Amino acid sequence: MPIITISRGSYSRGKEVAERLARELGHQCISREIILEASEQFNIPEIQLVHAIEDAPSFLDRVTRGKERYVAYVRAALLRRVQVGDVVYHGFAGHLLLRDVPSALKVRILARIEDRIQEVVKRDRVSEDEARERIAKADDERRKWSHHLYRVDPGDVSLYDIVLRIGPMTLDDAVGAIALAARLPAFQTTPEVRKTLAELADRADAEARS
Amino acid sequence: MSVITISRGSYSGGREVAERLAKKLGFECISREVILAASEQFNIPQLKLLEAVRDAPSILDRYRFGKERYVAYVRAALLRHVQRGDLVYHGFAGHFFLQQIPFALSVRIVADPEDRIQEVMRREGISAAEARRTLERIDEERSRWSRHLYGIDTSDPSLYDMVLNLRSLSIDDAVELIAQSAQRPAFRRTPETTRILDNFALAAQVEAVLIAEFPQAKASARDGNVFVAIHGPMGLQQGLTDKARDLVSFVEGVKQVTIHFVPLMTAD
Repeated sequence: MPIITISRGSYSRGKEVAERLARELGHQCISREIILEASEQFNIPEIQLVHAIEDAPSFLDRVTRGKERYVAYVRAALLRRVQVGDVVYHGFAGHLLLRDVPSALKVRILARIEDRIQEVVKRDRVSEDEARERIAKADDERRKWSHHLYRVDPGDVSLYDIVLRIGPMTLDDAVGAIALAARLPAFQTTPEVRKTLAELADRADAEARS
Repeated sequence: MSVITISRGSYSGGREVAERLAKKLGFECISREVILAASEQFNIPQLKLLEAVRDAPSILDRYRFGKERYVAYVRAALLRHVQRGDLVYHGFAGHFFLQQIPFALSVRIVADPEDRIQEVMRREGISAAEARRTLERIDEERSRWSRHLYGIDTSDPSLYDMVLNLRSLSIDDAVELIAQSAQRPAFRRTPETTRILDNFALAAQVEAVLIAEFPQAKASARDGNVFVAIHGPMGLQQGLTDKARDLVSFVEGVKQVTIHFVPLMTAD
């Protein structure tokens, strides 16, 4: 079975898709756990790692390129993790961390803007205008982040194999479509892929420790 | 069953996906046929219609109603097609024309930029550099007209239910994935969604017959009862209302017409 990464727009229900998918396929569903693993593996306080990778890049980051090191820790941990079992990864930037693994099935989950606004209104109990602003801000932060570290826009569809929009398409429909794709030959973790993964993990390790 | 729209960049392999999908599902597969139907129904030369829906808007067109008119004709013709049966539409802007149809499954096919360049070179017999320029020009034109007519960019992934990337998926993989989604309940016709389609189709027919005389006319329909808003100078209310009523009364399926006249304000 393949490695599956789920990238999700904020307030787009991608987490639910990831969880249901993992249950259906019998995969482990991981997201922030990988940060804990990275912090143990490289002996970095977890909180420091969380801030480093989740906050939008500061001016200092841009000058010192401080974030890159922390991302390398997480990347190394993720590459280790995907070797020991089937995973659905919906933590940060899976499609970028595993960019060099062509057999990883890279999925993006979106929602219609109306639905996202309603989701924020319901969850945060704010007005529609306020919700719209929060979404714009969240999207903008992710864009900056992705640009800073990888020079790509997370909305660029060429980063993904499949993009699904929740709306008329239900969560279960999306899970069904991804499960079908997961059985396609192109996404299987073959012995050859395993070899590549091991090499990439070693290299990421070395990079993280350098 | 359903209607599936396939949006595709040119030279992206999307046409093959559409054709194989239609064959697999036993659906009709159409693109330009809609243009032909529109040109017959509304008596417009086909070439003019093709240009209208395809080419990027010129400066002049922004001050006329030229393209909007033809788009109204194509929309009306396409909705008619959808009423008649199941189909895969891979012509221009299917997701725009059918965005209010609840059971329409909208798909976008994207290809690896390098694969597209190879495809242009192979089909047109030109160099890589020329092929690159050709694609840039085509993409730019398409993006311009969709922004012009609808204020939306066709490459925006949030316009589609699914976007499939042919870099990693084969054409048959893509067909398989779309066929599976098309069979989910959300994308099947029901009596209720068929009624919504009929209402939109009738409103589109009405707007199409009115647009030459009333470029800003807006219509809505409910089970054969049609409501139309038209604009004109205050003094011409009676004449224009009668004219609109006449035009609309010839549209098949119209039972009752209500015309709402919106007077145009003149500058003091």
